[in-house]
This record gives sequence, C-alpha cells and structure tokens, in this order.
Amino acid sequence: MPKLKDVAHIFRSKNAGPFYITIDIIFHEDASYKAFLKSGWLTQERVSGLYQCNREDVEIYPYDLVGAIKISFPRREASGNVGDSDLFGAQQHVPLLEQWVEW
Amino acid sequence: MDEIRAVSTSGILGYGFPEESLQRCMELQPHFIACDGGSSDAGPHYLGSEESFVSREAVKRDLRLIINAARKHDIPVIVGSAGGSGCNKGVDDFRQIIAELAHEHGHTLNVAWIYSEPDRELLAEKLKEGKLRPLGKHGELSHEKLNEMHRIVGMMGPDPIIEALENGADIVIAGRATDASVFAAYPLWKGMNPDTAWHAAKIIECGAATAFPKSHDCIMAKIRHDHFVLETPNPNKTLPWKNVVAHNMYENISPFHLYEPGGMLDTSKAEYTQVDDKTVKVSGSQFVAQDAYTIKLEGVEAVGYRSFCLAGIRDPILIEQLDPYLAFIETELAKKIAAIDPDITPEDYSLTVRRYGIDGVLGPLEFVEARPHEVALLIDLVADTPARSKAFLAAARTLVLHSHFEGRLTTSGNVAFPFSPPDVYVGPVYQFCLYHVVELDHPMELYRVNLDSVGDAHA
Repeated sequence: MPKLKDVAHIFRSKNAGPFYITIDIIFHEDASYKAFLKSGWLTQERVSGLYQCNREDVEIYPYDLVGAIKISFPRREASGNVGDSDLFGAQQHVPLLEQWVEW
Repeated sequence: MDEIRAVSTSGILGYGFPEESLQRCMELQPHFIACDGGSSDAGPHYLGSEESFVSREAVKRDLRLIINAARKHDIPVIVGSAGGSGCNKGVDDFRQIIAELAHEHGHTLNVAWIYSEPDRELLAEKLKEGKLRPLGKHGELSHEKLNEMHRIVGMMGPDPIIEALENGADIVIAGRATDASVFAAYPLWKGMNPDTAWHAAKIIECGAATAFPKSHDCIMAKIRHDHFVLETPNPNKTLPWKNVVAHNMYENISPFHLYEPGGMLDTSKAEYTQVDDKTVKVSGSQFVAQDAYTIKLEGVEAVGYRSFCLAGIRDPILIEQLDPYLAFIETELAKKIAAIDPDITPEDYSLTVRRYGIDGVLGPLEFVEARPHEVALLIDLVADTPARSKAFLAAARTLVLHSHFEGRLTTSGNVAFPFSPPDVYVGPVYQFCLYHVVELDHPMELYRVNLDSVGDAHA
C-alpha cells in the first residue's frame, strides 16, 4: 500500500486562473498509473472531502499519453484574497500527496 | 505560406534568456519573435496598482535583444499583456522603453499599441443585453458592482494583433491578451491552419518550459498545415516529448480543452513524436471554431489597506492554549476598537491571524494534529483607511503581547517580535472579482489599434 507521493514523478499544484486550483500527478511508471486508476480510489467525493469543495465541482482528467492525472476544483478563496494563504496555489497538492492508496 | 517559423524568447518578458539561444533561433530565419509579458498568477495587486512584477531594467534588456535581432532580419515583434497585468499604464511603459531603445540603437520603428481596458459604458450595455455573463458558479454582475470596480481588462484574442500586423507594425504591444493569442496571431494572419497555429502557440507561450533542464530560455516552432515541430536551440538541453505533452496540463483546468476567443483548442487526439533529442513533432489537435466570439474579463476591486506583523511564540503553555487565546484576542479587539470609536463595526476591518507551524499554509485543510514547539503568528489587518489599518493592527499587536491565558506564567510579554517597529504598513489591497466573459459583436469591438513611428527618422 503506497503513499501517492511514492509513485509520482511530478506532483504539483498551481492556480488555473485566480479562481481554480489544479493538481497534476505524473506517475513514474505507466503500470502504477493504470493500477491507481483501476483501484477506483480517486473520486470526486474523495477530492471534495480533502479540499472542502462541492463534489460536482471537482474535475478529474486521466491523461493516458503521459500516465498522468489532472484534478481541478474551485478555490475556497480567490488567489490573493484577504482570506487566501497561497497566492500561486503552490502548496495545495499536500493533502493528496500524503494519502495512502490500496491497490 | 507552407511554413511559419516562430521564436518565443521566454515565459515572461523580463525573465531573461541566453543571448546565444536567440542567435541560434535567428539562424533558422524565423518569421516573427513573440513574448508574453504577463500573468494573473502574481495576484490582484498588479492589476490594482498598475505596477509591474518584473523590473523595468529586466524588460528593457530582453526587449533590446529581441528588437535588435528582429530589425537585423526585418521581422515583426509581438509582446502581449504588457507590464504584467496588461493595464493601459503597462502598455504605455512598454512604449516608452521601446522609444528609448529605438533612439539608443538608431532604429526607426512602426510601433502599434492596443489598450485592453474596456469602455465601462460599453460593458454596462453588454450587461443589459445579457452578453456579459459569469463563468462557473460566479454570480451575475450588478451594474453597481461594475461601476465600482477598480480596474478591468479584457483578454484580447489574435484579431487586434493581426490588424496591427496588417497595418505594417514592426512591433506590436498588446495590453491583456490570452497567452496563446500572442503566438497564434502571426500564423493565422498568414493563413496557417488554426489547428496547428493554436496548439503550437499554446506550447511555446511559456518559452522553453518544456525543455530539459528547465530554465528561462528560447524555443522555436516550425508550424505547418498538418503538423508543427518544436525545437530547443540550446546545445545543453533536450526536448523530451513527454514534457511537451505534459505542458497541455500546465495552469489549465483541463488538459484537453483550451478556450480561446472565437473557439476551443482540443488536444485530446494529438500525437507526439520524438524526432531527435532536441525536436518533437506534433499533429492531430483541432481548433473548433465557435459561433459566439467571447473574451474573458479580469477585474479587481479595492478592499482596503493592509498592515501586518509577525510574532513568534516559543512558550509551550501558550502554544497549548492558542485556540482560545486567539478567539479571545478577536473579541477583545472588537471591544477595544468600539471603545475608541463606537461607529466602527467589525465590517469596517478584517483581522486574519495565520498560525505558521500549525496550519498557516493549509488552514482548515490541515490534517496533521501534532503541536510544534514554536509557532509564528502572522497578524494581518485590513481596514478601510490607512490610518485605521495601522491603528487597529497596533491594538491587535498589544493585545497579543499582553493578554492573559490559562496557566500563564510569563506576565511580562507573550510573544517575540523580530523587528522594531514590529508593524509593517503595506498599502492598498485589491481582490480579483470578475470571472466573466463578454460576447462581442465583432472581434474588434473593444479594441483599437494605434500606430506611430518612433526613432531617429521621427526625432
């Protein structure tokens, strides 16, 4: 049972415009990318729980060509708002990074 | 034309690039040089204050190399989102820099410039017609809010840039433009297939972000009707095809769909081939034209004035008591302010205390519960006037230093301030408040191309 950070080659978060966060997970190996997808672990529900947003607002895109997954969801606060603590959205990958996944 | 060769000098104008890389690109006889000048990534401050997040000297250095190279080969230069936010002042600052360079190097330049701050009355008209619409779950914009907005820019498509090129511009300075439009304009002007023109533009707008090892550098695209080829000019770099594919993901909500004025780029069926270790060939993407020509608006509102201070805590008894302590500070601050001026309510200011070491970065998303031995409090105070911002922060700072907490032994002060004065006044605060598109009757409805000749012949 690995942690997500142990199977990733790149694991990053960033603003996609001032109102969205987007997380890219590029896997080391195609095999672990496929195994992860097949496990069914990653759901809109799971992401909305970790990031406190609405389930239906979470977008998940598997990208077979590079063995990567993109996850996007609205920010709780727009970038640079008085209540925002992460201008570039650069540390928002961490709640996912530390997750254990069974496959 | 069967092939358009484009040079992108770097991800942001002013980030720098190796001069040798540009020289190598020029040996391949490009048709134009382009560079994007901006981003909303650095936050609302820049559109609010009209300041640039890149220094004038750095922008001038990059423009000097670009313009000198372009004049030598008699090809046009296109820069987008001038000044970072693309505001009118950013465009004017770039015009000034370019005029200086023209004089310093003896060039005579036809300079075109295009502002992107739309006329408010026209936007109000669009709102009335239902042609100014929110994206996602954002609410409808009210006329009142539209009027009060501090500054708005409309992200132009390639069309105004094309008109400038058509008018004989040697250099085009665009206000806020979509990143890809800056690079798609020339190929589209020359009748290139929009499928390859847009996809190549999307990849090279970030400069050499796809090359390895990554650093600010130039990249070259050779765009043809059925494919395009990307090439790194740097002898010490490679261009791995996977990086090119992965770049579709970068900073976008979806890796497959990129919305641009006039259409949508669909890269889901694109194919990527490693030609050699410095060259990647791409084909199969599609630009789907849309009936409605919409452009995205960016806007900021002014929300007040900021002061902050940093306070360190090492006392384990206070770290244990921090939750109730900070709740107490918030209540006491409201009381203290009301005692000074009963007309001031908590709506007139906002106190935000970040607890670095506990949950300063992730806030309510933090999942680690252990308490550290040391905590930094960032005390942020935004109020409706500069004087109140300073005064209320001073009050909050004193409360944090001297208030009582359960089990307190340290009756001479609760926190460690690293500086004198501990308080820092920052200035006006802005927030992004537009996530809207406006539908145009025609692509030039919000834009006008201005043209002037600068340089020795003009002097």
